[in-house]
Amino acid sequence: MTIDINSLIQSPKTQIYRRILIKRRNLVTGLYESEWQDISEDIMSFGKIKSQIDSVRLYKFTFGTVKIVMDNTDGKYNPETSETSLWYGYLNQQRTLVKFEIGFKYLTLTSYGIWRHNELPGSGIYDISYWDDIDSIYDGNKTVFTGLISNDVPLSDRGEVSFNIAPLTQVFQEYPAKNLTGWTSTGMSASQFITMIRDQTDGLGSYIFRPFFGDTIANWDISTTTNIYSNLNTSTAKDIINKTVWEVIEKLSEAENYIAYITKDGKFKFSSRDPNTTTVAYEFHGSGSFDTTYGHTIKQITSYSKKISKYYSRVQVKWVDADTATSYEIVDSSMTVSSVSNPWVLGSKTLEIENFYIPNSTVAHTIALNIFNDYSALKTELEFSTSLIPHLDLLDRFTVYYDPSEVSVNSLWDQNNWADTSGSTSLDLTFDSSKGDAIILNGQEFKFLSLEIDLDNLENKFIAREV
Amino acid sequence: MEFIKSNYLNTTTLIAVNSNTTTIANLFNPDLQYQYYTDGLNSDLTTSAITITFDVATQISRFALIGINYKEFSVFYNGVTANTFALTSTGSTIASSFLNNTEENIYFQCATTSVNSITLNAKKTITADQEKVIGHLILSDLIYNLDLKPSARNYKPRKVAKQVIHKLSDGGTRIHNIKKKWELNLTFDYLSESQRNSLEDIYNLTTPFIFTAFPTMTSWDAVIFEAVWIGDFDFYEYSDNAISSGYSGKIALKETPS
Repeated sequence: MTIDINSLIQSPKTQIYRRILIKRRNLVTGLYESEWQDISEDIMSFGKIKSQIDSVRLYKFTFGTVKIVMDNTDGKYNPETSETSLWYGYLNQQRTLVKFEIGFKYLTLTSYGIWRHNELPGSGIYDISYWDDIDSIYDGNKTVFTGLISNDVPLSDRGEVSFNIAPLTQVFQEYPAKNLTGWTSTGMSASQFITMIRDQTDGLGSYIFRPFFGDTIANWDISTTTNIYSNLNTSTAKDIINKTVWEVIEKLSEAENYIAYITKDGKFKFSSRDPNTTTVAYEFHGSGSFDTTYGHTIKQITSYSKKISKYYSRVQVKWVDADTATSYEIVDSSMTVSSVSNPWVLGSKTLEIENFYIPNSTVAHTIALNIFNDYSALKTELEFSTSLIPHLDLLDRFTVYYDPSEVSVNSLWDQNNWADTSGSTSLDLTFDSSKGDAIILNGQEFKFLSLEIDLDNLENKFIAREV
Repeated sequence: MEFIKSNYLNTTTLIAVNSNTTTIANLFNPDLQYQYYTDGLNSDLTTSAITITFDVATQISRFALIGINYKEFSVFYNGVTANTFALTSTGSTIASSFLNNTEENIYFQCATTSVNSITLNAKKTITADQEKVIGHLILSDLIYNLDLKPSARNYKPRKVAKQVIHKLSDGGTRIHNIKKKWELNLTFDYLSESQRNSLEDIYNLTTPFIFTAFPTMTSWDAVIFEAVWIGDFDFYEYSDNAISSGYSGKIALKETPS
């Protein structure tokens, strides 16, 4: 039997590995050391990792801060001035790179009596059933979060110390956009701006942002865009001078209907908001469903609803500062008093977007139309928890099978009452059978908007939106 | 029942081997499923040589080989094959050199010897012509030998699993295991004042120690782990209604992290 990540996820009893690794900075060069240092043995609490896209509101990308608690009885996590500290001889603890790894471990015993240790995801096992299909999730990387030590590190007499690990977006949030160099007088596209950030140096040839992303351009996934933003032309431009790099990135994402986020393994990604795969990457099965490939993973569905709060019949994009009719591009549903007109059935709701980066009315209209197409239909959102599933990422596409009822209830619809009497037979007296109660999901497709991994309780919580 | 010092072998920089350097850290990993094994020495005509070289001369009076498949092997010190340890424990030999070993786990007691290096040479395996495997190597020195055996009722070793139990939506259960660690409770009565004081010295240690209850060379249960003594020291209680009856108390040990 092939052992892969799915077989371990559904196994009733598995061994888990969890690691936290750090990279400190050299006292002289200020650069990160080349090897990761494993500090897992001192961890008292691993915390929770959370990433969200659009789950609170549209175009809001939230990457949670993780709080870890370390055993500091022997002073290993004291400030760098302490001789017992792991940072002694290195730079300050702030901005230390931190990497979280979690996954499954399984052992095989060779004929020599030697135990082989295999880890999934990330053991590098070649699995043709995954690797020959480009749309499938392959065994993947074991890293689930990469961040930086940030904020205060208070010591106490309890013999423990907690670190706040901020996501890598922190480096963009801290850096003023006006300090960037490399502007073009005629403006630039969003992808050119992101590339400019990637290649940003301190003027002496040292990269400013790349060291946080593995010091390689391979960790910058930038999809090309073509719209030219004339206001991205100088560091003193109105839309630059009082903004951070991250604020500019968020505005550009909105203007392009793109997303900007950090993948689990620490890659910066600026790309369209389409699901990561065109086919289903994973299936969740819960009560009332049986599947031998993915197994039963759902613990609880905490919320399942048509998301009226994210339904908009009208999208209004204001792209020029002046308040004139031509400053707006609006796409809306026409309202008729009928059963198929959403503004009549659900009411009219307007989503207002203000983004002065947008270069012209055509682009503004395209943005309004894209958003309208996504949000003018009433779609379902689902919140649920599962046992540990370490390898999924934001915007992965998946299906859900769930029917919590044990009974087969009868439909209230009865052919005898509703059918044409001329066609009725004695069989029509039997009520049509139906299954389930409040929630019945039979392969509906969703994509993730929010992912949370509780590393202490080895549990996932997801928020997903109907595709 | 012995309390010995933490493993002197605790860093890879002390270790030199003639095969498969990548697994040498497993020599001092207490998880027996992480093993040091040779690569390409699967012949009884080849020898696996593991040499531990200390920074300074080190007193050795206890060592243990756990999870081995060695049939013919020897342990000697300071690089001289003739320098085998003079074993004081009851066993099949009086020197640390074996031709027909069948034990997977062996705990050695020997006269205290000052050594600069220790070499473990393994030639033949119990099943012929296999790679040489060892799960854990402990090099240590005695702290205290409490020459008593607890009754079965008063000896409670447990492997405690750290695990997360999920209750799934259909009522089924899924378990994620993280690690198992030893916990051990012992109760003694009628200890002498000297025994009580020696135990209190161990209780007062600020460093961990290694504990094994039944240290033998043959049929050893291999229950040995680095531990800390938790809770109170209560061996000041008298065992009976006379001061001369001796002392009663409990020892509660928990394995350290690895």
